[in-house]
Amino acid sequence: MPGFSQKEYSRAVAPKVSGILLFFGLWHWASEAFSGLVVAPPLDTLAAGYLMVTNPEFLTRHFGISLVRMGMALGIGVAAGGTLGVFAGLFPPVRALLEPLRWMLMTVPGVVIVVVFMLWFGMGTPMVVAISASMGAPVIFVHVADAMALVDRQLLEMARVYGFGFRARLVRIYAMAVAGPFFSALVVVAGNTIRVVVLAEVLGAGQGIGYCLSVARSRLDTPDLYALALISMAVVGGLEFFLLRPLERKLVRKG
Amino acid sequence: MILECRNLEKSYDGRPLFSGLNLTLEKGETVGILGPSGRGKSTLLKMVAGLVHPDRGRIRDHGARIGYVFQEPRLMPWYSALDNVAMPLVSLGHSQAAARREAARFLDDMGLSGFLNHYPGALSGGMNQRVSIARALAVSPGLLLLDEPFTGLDPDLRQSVRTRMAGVLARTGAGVIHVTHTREELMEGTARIYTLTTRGLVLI
Repeated sequence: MPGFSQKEYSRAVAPKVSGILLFFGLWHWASEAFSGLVVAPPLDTLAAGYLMVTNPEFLTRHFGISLVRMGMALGIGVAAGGTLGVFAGLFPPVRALLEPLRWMLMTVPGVVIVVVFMLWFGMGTPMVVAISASMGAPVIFVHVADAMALVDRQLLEMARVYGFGFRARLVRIYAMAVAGPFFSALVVVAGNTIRVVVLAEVLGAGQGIGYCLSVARSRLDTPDLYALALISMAVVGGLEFFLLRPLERKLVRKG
Repeated sequence: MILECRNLEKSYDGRPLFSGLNLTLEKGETVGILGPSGRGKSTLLKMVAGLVHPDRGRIRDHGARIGYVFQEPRLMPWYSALDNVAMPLVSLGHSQAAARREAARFLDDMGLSGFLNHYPGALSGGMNQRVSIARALAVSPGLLLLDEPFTGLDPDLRQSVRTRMAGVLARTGAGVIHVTHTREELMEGTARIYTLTTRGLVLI
């Protein structure tokens, strides 16, 4: 790892590896202590997971479809929340106009949104994407709008004096100041979006990881249930640690 | 004439800062304005820069390009010293490469040639203030506004920066308004020195 000595690297990594081993140790202990119907053994779970990820039908009909839904939901949620957040930050009346909708989406219980959207969109991809996007967008909106409103007024005065146009102010000051809070919100929203997509698929879809979960639950196939949970976690982890965090490190300069 | 202020008046929260303020500035002329904190010196500069509107009176700057050294450096923390100086030049229409070349020259003038790619967070307060001075000078201002620009610089550095600034100003012929607490901080060759009072500027 560049910039780290072997000793520092060991110090940084050892606790994480120990945490993972502890987790698997506790899981194994729990599977021994309780029935396999309640807690699937780690090895059975890993074996079930391996069978799934090597099964082309699972990958295309379920995993791939869930990924597409997650991508669409995240993209729509971030685009809508981010764009409206920028306008709300720049123009306070826009924020006042959107606040009731934001407040409603963030306070209405998720299950109510699921039921209402099932009525509006029917079952399948539109419903899953709409639910997930509408739950992520308000979080992005709040973070972006707040960060826009808190941009250093002194920097904006400097920009006026030196003739920065609207686009230059947006790109060189607002975007840079908002990048940190935006990425923090994005990491949270990405995790939540994936969870909500799976939940919505459990409740109302004929394909996807969530659908597989509902089938495994009806068959009392606990290793499959646990394996699907692991696969969902891997997607969240992969997105966060291999895409969002590196992107954040590249784009956000905290000074 | 590059600046003409006529009968300016400004109050904050019902408290009058000044009224009947008149000031004119010729090309290449430096004017010093003294006064204690809170008297409205910075507000006057902000009015001249168009950041604050007077309650009464009018300001004509005859289209002079403004360079402004604020009390605080006001640098963008996400850009290097070089880019902080280059950005206003890009806004003026320079290409990125030309702006960076010009910015490097002015940072060199401020004794910062070894710190071009450092970010403000990695520079001392005095270095950041010098970056801010370089930025103000780099835009080739017709009118340079200095708001206690040497705050945070130690005495040796203060003199050196003042001398370097004077050299650049002699080249560009900018008019300068310099506000500060003490007479000793004023630039050499200051043509007129005023005290700011509630009844405007008083020549001393």
